[in-house]
Amino acid sequence: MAEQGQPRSAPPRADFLAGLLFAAIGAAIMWVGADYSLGVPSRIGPGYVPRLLGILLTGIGLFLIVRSWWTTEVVDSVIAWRPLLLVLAGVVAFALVFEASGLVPAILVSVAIGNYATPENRWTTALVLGAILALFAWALFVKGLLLPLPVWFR
Amino acid sequence: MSDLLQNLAFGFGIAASPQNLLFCLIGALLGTLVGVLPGLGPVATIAMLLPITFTLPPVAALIMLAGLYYGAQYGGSTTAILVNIPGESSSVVTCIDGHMMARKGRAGSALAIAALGSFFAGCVATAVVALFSGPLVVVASSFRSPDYFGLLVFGMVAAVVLAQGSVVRSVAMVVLGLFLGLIGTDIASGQTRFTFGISALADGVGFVPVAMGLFGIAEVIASLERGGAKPKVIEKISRLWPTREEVRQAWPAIVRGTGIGSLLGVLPGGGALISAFAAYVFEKRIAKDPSRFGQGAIEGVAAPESANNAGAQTSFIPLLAMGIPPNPVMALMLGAMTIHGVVPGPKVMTERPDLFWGMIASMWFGNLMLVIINLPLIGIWVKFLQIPYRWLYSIILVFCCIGVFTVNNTTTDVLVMAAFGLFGYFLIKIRCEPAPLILGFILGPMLEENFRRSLIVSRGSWWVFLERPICAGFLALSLVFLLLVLLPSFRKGREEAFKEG
Repeated sequence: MAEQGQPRSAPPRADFLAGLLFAAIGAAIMWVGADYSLGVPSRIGPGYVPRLLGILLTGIGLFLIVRSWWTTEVVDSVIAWRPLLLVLAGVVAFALVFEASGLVPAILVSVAIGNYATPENRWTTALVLGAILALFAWALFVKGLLLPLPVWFR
Repeated sequence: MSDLLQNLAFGFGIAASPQNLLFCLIGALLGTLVGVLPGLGPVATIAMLLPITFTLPPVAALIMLAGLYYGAQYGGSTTAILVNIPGESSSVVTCIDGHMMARKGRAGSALAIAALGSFFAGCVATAVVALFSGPLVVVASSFRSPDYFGLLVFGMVAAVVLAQGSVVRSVAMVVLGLFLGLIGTDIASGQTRFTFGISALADGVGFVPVAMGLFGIAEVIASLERGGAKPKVIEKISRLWPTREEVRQAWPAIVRGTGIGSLLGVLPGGGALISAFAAYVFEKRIAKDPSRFGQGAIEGVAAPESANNAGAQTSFIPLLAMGIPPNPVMALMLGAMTIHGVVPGPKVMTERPDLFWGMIASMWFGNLMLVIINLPLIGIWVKFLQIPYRWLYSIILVFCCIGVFTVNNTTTDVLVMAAFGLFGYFLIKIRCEPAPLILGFILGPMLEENFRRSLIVSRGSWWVFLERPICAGFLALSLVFLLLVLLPSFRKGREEAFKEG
């Protein structure tokens, strides 16, 4: 894959993006944490350690941004959108369907979505795998281990 | 000494009960399976199995989970040797020479040496855990808050230096992990922190959804991205017994690997992975003819496979003796102990001797079972390698979802897992290691608590961390480690070591 075609523009440096991320999170920690009491040194408040961590993280982030001028390691800028979105959608669907209607529908729906994360799978794969997994999970968790999971529409 | 033997005999009595033997076997079988299957690691599996252990007695539950971790080290080598894919991250270096041996028709010897080396390492490591946990408990009970603080700092620094990838970015990941661990209600003041008014976050972000997101979900996405080419399995194993010459070459490497693994497993941040790397590099350094490495040198299989097994087992020492988990798997073990009402720390040995000695003794039984599971029955595991990943990942995803849900019975955790899956994928892309983040996440609350207590005792003076010799020692060691990494020569060696993989 990588050999095909020259990249149009150089991908960003790993240190630069990571530094940006850490500095932003560090700043956010200090911003949100500003409301929490720092206490006194002999009895530190809930804001004390988060403040330290925020300063540390921002500092490291800024250092990385500066360092990125002379480091060469770049990020992997190719994002596999298909597996990324469909796998996450499958997991989120599990949570939502489970909440609404129980274990078996949640497994069927999440497998049906996650199944298409790779182009090799057909709808028959989803059907067969979903059915087997639903049956197995029901037998193992509900019947075998007696976990109180809602199985089907309540 | 006679005390130790008495305790061990007591432990063997517990571990040899039919029920505990059964769960030891289940753990060993599951561990081998997890080890053989690429893209499914012990962290995700133990997290998935946590709900299953709810209904078990604590000793049986912990024996099973422990067996799963060291069992995975056995299974990982099978895939590495036969397919050239690490079944487990700690088998990365085994691929190099192990697969080369298989391609030259010596697959059987490689598998046998890997399993026998692991068995030897497992037996030695069991003895090491038994010998050193006791004295360490005595040491640990004299530790005060500043000492724990120093130890925790040292653990995180060691983890960063020993881990792969950029040191500065790994330090940032630890700090980020420490912060994530503080989300939720502050124990001292009762104030909720960084919850943004979401009541589900009041108890903090769960460790299991974070670990499963970063190691389970993100790994599935990354594996699908790499996917495509079908793995080529070398199925012809030929004779499953190494020649006399091979044994002669492998034997010293097994002993050295066991030593390195036993040592590195105890270090915070240590465990199976770093032990395997270090053992391989060491073998190559001391070899008379280093050019044989990469061409199917048997030492390149024997040393790392012994080391990862030894490291997996000795990483129980800090958890059992001090209640400090040195790696993500041990953090899950800590979680499992807590679920069963056992408070990890120096008191476990005196308050729950059945659990402490029973678990140690079970490691020896487990290793014995694993040799049988992995040598004569190797054909069965090769069959599992034929399961295409396009089926496997759906199975992994469903079990991740159910497992995460059942820990706290809330679908919020499933959504948190999805969020950390996304974050984990992004971290892979910007070349940041998730392991230091998880370590920081586990240690965050402990670090804050000991920091706070130290300052209370010292009435707010930071000098307390330098006044106590134990704490000052740990902090000085941490500084030395960090300075070492900045030295150009050491840095070059470290980069070379990880490039082998």
